[in-house]
Amino acid sequence: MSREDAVIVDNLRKVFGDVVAVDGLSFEVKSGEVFGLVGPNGAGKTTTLRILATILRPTEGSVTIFGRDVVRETKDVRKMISYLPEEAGAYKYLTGYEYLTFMAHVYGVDKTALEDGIRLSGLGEALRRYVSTYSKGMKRRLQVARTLMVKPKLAIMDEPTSGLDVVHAVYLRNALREYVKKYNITVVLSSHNMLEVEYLCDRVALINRGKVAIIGAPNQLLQEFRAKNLEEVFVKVVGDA
Amino acid sequence: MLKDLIVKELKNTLRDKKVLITSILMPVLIFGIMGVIYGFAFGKAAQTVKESVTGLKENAVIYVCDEDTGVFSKLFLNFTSNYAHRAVVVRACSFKDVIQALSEGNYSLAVYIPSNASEDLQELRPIPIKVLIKTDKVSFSSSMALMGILNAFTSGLNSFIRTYIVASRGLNPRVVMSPVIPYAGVIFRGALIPPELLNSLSSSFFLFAFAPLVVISMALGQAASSMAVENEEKTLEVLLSLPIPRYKIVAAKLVGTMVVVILATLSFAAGSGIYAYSLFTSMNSLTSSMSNTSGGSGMFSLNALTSLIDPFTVGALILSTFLSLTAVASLGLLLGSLTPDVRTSSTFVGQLSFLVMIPGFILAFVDLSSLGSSGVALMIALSPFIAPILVLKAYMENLPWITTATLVWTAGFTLLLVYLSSKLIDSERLLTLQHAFMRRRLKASKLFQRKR
Repeated sequence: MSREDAVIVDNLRKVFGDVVAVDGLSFEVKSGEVFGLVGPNGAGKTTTLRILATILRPTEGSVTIFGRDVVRETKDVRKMISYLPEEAGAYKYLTGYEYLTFMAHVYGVDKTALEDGIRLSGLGEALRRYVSTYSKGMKRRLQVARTLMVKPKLAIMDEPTSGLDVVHAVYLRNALREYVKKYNITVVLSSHNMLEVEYLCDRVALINRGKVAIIGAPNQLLQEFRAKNLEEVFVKVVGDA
Repeated sequence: MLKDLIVKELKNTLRDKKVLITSILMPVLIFGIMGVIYGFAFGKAAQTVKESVTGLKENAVIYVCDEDTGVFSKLFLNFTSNYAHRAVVVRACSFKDVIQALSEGNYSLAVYIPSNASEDLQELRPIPIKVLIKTDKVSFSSSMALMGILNAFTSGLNSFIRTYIVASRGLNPRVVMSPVIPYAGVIFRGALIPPELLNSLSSSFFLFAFAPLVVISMALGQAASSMAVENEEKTLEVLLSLPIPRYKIVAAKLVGTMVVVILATLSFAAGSGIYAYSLFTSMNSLTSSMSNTSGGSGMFSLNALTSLIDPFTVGALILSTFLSLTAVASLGLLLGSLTPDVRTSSTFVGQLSFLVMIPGFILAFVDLSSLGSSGVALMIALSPFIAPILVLKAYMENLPWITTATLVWTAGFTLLLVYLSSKLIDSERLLTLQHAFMRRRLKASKLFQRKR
C-alpha cells in the first residue's frame, strides 16, 4: 500500500523577468519521506523550496502539500509547514530561549515541543544569551531546532547544515534523522553536500537548469550509474543530457 | 498571537542600545544638558551684572567732567553720591579729557556734562550727557555686565531727574509717571483674556508646530528601521512563512513603533521642558538684573496654550496625532520592507522626512487664510503627515471646517495605508519589488559612474 503523497509538484515553472528559474519541474514526496533536491547553483532548488514554503508563487504549474494548494490554500499550508531558508536570522535582542518560545507560541505547540527545541539546538546555557552574541553555527543550530521542534507535517530546509563545523553538522544530521523518523515528519531539503544527502535522504531529485534530471534513492542511483558518489551520478546524468 | 508578536517587537527594539540611546536617551540628555549650559551661562551673566552694579556702589570712582556747574550738575552729583563710592569732579575740561581719564586713570565710569545742561533742564529739553565705561575683556558675561551697569546707571539717572522735574512743579511723581492704570482685555471666542495671553499663544505656536514634525519624522524612521532590520537580519523570510495573518504583523510593527515614539516623545518633552525652564528662568533673571523690567513675558507659556484650547480641540489634536503617527508608520513599514538594510532605509527616510517637513514649516510661518483655496486644499491633501499642526492652525485661525476635513481625510488615508501595508507585506510582491528596486538602484549607480 503506497503512502499518502505529502508533496506533489506538477510541471512547476517560475520566471523572474527574463530569467527562467524553474522550468517544468515535477516530483512527488511521500509522507514521512526525507527528500533531497540536489544541483548546482542556479539550478532552481531555492526557488522551488520558496514556492513550497508559500514565499513565492508559481508562474505556471501547481504545488500541493498534503492535498492543499500552496496558492489557493496558503493559510492551511502555512500551518502544516516549517521553513528554514538558507540564510535565516533570528531576532538579535531575543535570547535563544525567547526565540524558541516565540515560535512555539506562533505554532500553538505545547511545552514538550519547546523542550525538544532546547535539546535539538544543543545550545544549553547559551540559550539564555541574546542571539546577537551567537556564532554563525550557533544561529544555524537554533534555526534547525526552531524548524523541527514544532513538529510540522512538512519541514522545508534549504542547506540545513550550512555554516556548521564538522562536529556540529554530524550532530545535527543525526538529531534530524532521529527526530523526523520519531515524529514522522516529511522533509524536503536541498544541499550541496552529497554525503549529507546520501546519509539523510530516502530519495533525491537531481536538478539542472530548473528541470529534474533524475529521481531515485541514493543507493539505487549509485548502482544504476555505477558511481562512487552522487556527484559522479550528477556529472554522468547531466553529461548524458 | 498578536501579543506574542508585540512582545517580540518590543523586546527586540527596546533592548537595542542604538534605539535606547539615539531615540530615548539622547533627546532628554541633549536638551537637558543644553538647558543646563544655557541656564549656567545666563545665570553667571546675571550674577556678574548684579555683582558689577553692587561693586560700583561700593568701590567705584566716577570721573565727572562738569562744564555745567548749575542745577543739573548738583542733581547729578547728588544722584552719583548714592550710586557710586566716590566721584572725582573736574571743571573746565573737554570730552577728550573724559576719554583720556577713563583710558589711563583708575576709574570705572566717566561722564561728560555739557555746559548748557541746566538750561536744557529748565526749558525741559533732553540733556545730551555722555556716559563712558571701559573694559579689556570680551566675553558673554563681561559684555552683559557692562550693559547692566550702563542700563542701571542711565535708567537710575533718568528716574531721578524725572522725579525732580515733576516734584519741582508741585505734582505727585507716581501719578505723573503712570496717570492711568488701565485694565486691558481681549474677548477671544467669548472668553475675556488678557492680551498678553493671546500674544503668548501666538508666540508659542512655533514651538508647538515643530514638536509634532519631530515626532512624526521619528515615527517614519522607526517604522522603516523596524522593517528594514528584518531584511538586514534575514528574519523576514521566516516571518512571512509563519502561520500569522499579515495584518497582525503590521499591527505588531505599528504598536512597537508607537511605543518607541511615545517613549522618545516623553524624553523629548522632558528634555525640552528642562531646556525651556532653564533658559527662560535664567533669561528672566538676566533681564531683571539688567533693567527694572521683568523680561521674558509673553515668550512662552504652556499654561497659556492649554487654558485657551477647548476639550474638542484637545480631542482633535490627540486623534490627529495618533492618525498621523499611524499613517507615517505604515508608510515607513512599506519603505523599510523594500530596502535591504537599515542604512538604505535611513537614506530614503531622510529624503521623505524632508518632504513631510516642508508643509509643516509652511504652516508654522504662514496663515492658512493667506494660502488661498488651492493652498488649503493642498495642505488638507497632505494632512495625513501634518494633521496635528493643521488642526492646531485651524483652531488658531478659527477655521473649524479644516479640522473636520483634516480628521476625515487623515482617518480614511491612514486606514487605506494600513490596508495597503498588510497587502503589500506579502513575500511574492515584496521580493519582486525588492528585486526591481535593487535593479533600479544598480542601473542608476552604473549610469552615474559612466557619467563621471
